[in-house]
Amino acid sequence: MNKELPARNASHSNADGRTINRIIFVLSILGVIMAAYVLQSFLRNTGIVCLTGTGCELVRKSPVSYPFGIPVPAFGLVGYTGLAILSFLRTTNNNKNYLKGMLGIAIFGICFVSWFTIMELFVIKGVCTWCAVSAVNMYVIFGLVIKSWSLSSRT
Amino acid sequence: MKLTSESKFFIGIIAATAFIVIAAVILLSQPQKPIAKNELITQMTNTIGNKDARVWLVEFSDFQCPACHAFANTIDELALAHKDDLLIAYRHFPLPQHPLAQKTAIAAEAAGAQGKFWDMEKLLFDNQESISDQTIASLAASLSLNMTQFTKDNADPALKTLVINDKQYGEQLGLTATPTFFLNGVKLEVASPDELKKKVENALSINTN
Repeated sequence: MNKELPARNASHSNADGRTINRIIFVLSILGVIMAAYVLQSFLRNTGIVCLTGTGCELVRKSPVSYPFGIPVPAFGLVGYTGLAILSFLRTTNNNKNYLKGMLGIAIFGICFVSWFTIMELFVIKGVCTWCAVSAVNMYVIFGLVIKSWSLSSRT
Repeated sequence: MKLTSESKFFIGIIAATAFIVIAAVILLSQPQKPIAKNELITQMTNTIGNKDARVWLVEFSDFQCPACHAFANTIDELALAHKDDLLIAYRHFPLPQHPLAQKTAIAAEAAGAQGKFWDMEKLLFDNQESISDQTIASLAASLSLNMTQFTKDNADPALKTLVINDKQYGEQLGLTATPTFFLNGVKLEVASPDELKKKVENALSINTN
């Protein structure tokens, strides 16, 4: 009976890891959709549907939203696409490099969204709904990647 | 690459998402139904040009909005060049981040009560950077308005209500930014004054030939 415990724990960890990877994948897809919607608005200079009034327009028209001349949602699009691809690849084999890649993107992601949220609040003085949702999304993904990392270290 | 059942599940999620996104894009890209002229231009709306023109442009604007200022000259040029073929209407959309947006809108209406709305509009945009409570009054005075009447109208709650109603109507239309234009009832997506000019002139060439 005692010999079965580690095997059962490993099985639980695998199931948890799979569920977490699924959630990361779905959140990444949502991130891709949000980033693509906002990016097309940046590139076409069209209005953004915004729950925070005029915040999205203030953000879109601010020079702060174009670091190195690149629109902020382009960073989100690349990051979330990377996370979606890596979480998909994790379903094909157990190579830990995929998880390392996800951790790297998630760390960069939370640094980026934190910086941009500070810029929105204190420099642009306007908050874009999509950026706020994306920031929360990235923090959740980061937390899930950390959890996934600890589970994979256990098995 | 070996696809596991989990990989296939993920591919299913991608397919379902792609389907939803494509359906949403198709639905949202359907041509917009034009809004009726009498809804966008009410009896109280300030207009310039031919009231019976087949081409009509409605602007939702804010006197403290820099982008509106950038479009103002183009609006003046269009009004002057096509006074017989074009009707231009101005509706207020004072943004909350502009502290004097509502006051300037009311002041323009008060000038409008003496037939000088468009003169006041031009002055307010031309002096946008130096606008203050004092400059509003001095701009009105420079138009040779009856200042006693102007001061009285400026305090008239009916004018404030008119401005608020314009803003609320804009919000009902889903507006979030200024300037927003409607050409013959259809919302325009324009990034620059030149683009606006081209679209209006294109509509004029179609409707006046």
